[in-house]
Amino acid sequence: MNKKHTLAKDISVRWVGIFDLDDLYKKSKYWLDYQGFGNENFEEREYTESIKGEAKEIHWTWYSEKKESDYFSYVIETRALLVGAKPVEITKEGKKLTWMKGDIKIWITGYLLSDCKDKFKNKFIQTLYEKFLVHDRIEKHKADIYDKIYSFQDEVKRYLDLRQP
Amino acid sequence: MSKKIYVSPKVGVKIEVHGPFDLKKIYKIAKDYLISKQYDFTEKKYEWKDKSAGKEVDLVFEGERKISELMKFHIDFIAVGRKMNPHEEKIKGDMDMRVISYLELDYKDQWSSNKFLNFLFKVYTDGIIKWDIDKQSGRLYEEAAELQDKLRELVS
Repeated sequence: MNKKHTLAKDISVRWVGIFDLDDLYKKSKYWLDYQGFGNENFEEREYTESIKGEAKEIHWTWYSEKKESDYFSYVIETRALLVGAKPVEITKEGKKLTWMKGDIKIWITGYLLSDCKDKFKNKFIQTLYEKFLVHDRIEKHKADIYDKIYSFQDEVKRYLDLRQP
Repeated sequence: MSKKIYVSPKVGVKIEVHGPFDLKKIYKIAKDYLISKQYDFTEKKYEWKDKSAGKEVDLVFEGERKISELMKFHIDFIAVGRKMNPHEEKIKGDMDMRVISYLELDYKDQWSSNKFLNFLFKVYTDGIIKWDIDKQSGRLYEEAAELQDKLRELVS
């Protein structure tokens, strides 16, 4: 049966100000694609846009999975909420561009999914298998997915131009 | 339910700086310290706001390290920056940092399913292994103090 080994739960990045929403959305999706979390293993589970007064509210949820082997998968789940969004015109390198001004928060959760094909029916045998036979592999995969989660968070910061520290 | 034993005050040990500071270094020191001490590191919060008086930042790092099947060390780092404006290579503004440290007992929630187990847990932790809890509290205190010293050294 599926078992989640969570490495990061709801780590968040937030920015209140002006940013390029289109760039953030496309490039973060592209990053997931490029790292093998795309194609048939990518699901946009929710995308909603609503008008609240003069501003927009946008919410999206992604589930992205990367198959590492028949037994292991890496999963990154992303939730984003943009509130009070209003388009603003900016000039960058002589070009007029339309960016967004608003409050955006992105939550990232990442975990290693073992027995991703749901082959084990007996929890006890699965526990023995994971504890004694594939323990080292689990630790190695955990380190890998941990790196991926924080690389993704770093990319999101970069798209929001938030890499001051 | 797991039990927390605070080694620092619950709100943490405060380190405050008004004036120019190097945020990049603060970030790096706190993160690298937790990782170097084998804590599982989580960057829980990374928030920036662009306000008219300057930028605002909120950072939360959580570090936890398993000590035994019963006990974990936690060191959390919180940084809140306000009215931040670029100043030469650094940032000028107000920065309030907190280092919160605590021991977590029964993090696997194995001793809280009924009142009898709860009672045994109390006897065990308040009596049988009290000496070990005190010893580990001292160790955690020293580790948190080392981080506080590094941060103080940086901003002084």
